[in-house]
Amino acid sequence: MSSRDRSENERFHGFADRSTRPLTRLAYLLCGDQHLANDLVQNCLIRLYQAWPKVADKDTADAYARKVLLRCWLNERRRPWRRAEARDGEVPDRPAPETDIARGVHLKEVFRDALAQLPPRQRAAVVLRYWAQHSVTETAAILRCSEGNVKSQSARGLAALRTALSTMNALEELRS
Amino acid sequence: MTEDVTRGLSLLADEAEPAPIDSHAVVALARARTGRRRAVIASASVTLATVAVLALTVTALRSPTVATPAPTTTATETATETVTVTGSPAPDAVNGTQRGPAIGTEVRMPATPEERAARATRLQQELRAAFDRVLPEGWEYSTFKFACDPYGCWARGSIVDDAEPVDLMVHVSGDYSVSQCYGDTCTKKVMPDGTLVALDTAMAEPRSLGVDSVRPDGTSFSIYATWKKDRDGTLTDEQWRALGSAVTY
Repeated sequence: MSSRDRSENERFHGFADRSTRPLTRLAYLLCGDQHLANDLVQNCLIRLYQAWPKVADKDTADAYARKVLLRCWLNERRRPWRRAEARDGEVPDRPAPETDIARGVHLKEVFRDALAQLPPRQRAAVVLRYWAQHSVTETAAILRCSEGNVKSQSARGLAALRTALSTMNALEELRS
Repeated sequence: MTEDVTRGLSLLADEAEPAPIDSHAVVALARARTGRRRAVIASASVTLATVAVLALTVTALRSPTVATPAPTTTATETATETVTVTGSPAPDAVNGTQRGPAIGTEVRMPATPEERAARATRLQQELRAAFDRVLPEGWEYSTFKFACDPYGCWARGSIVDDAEPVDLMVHVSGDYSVSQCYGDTCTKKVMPDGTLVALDTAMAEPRSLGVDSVRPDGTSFSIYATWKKDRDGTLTDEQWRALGSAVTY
């Protein structure tokens, strides 16, 4: 292995160590499953390493990694066994929102359910716009679509979230 | 509303617990995946190339135009289908210096009515042109209208000088046949165009003469000449041989 390759490898290892946590959080918001999120991050890093020599500007590696992660998740969603799997079923046991801890758990549960009901691209648009705080232009670049498409997907996603959360009386809990 | 969503998403994201990912294992997996992809691409390329070579080979073997050279044909024979059969070797020239045509390598399928009609007209023109070219001055010839069946054509006529007519019966086919040429009065010769001509000047019947020839293209041509009274001669041997190679079936 040449010294240049060794240097590139070291930079990749540094990037992987630094990016694992934020990528996992993004993956979890996208898929709603802890184990799948870890798998997505690993796949994302594998793909990123294969393209690592082509990532000329290392400053944009974070954005590129998010793009790769999103592609991994959308590809995962297209797999037949993923389509057949229902992730929005009713959980029979729900904690009663009596204490603050229990109330927080309930709130996250409600929010997770509401998010799970969004179509993949709407969900990605909402997460990228309102959690990762990407601009419309950046989100459009990551999603490979037009800015108008990002705006419409975000608006629909927000509307769907509002509807789902209002039926669960969670909006007031979030605001309080 | 968007602040609420951001807050909710942050709450949810805090749940995520990143699993410890060994970046060295990630690198090893990535390299293995790249190697597998290259192996798949290489094997697919080799398979495609092999299939293409096999397809080309099979196509080339099945194509008659590539496997065997097409026989020489005239314009009216292009619709004639040929089949290959086992034949006898060509007889060597007796009085000539060239080897005769390859005999018996092909037989032709029966001619269609359209081919027969066209062939009769063409043979008549070729024979009459040969008479114009070969007969000495003072000789005339009759119509020589050909009739054809699926396997050959024939005609009757006469050539006439100032003495008396010489009656001719001619037969043309494409079956590579030639006289066996027994006896001292029969001679075989290969003409410059490759036609093997057998000339028998004293056949069983008195005052008769026979010319049998086979051209390199497979045309078999027979002339049987008779005359009623003794005469000093008819045509020279070379003129008869020239007539024997005059037509193409």
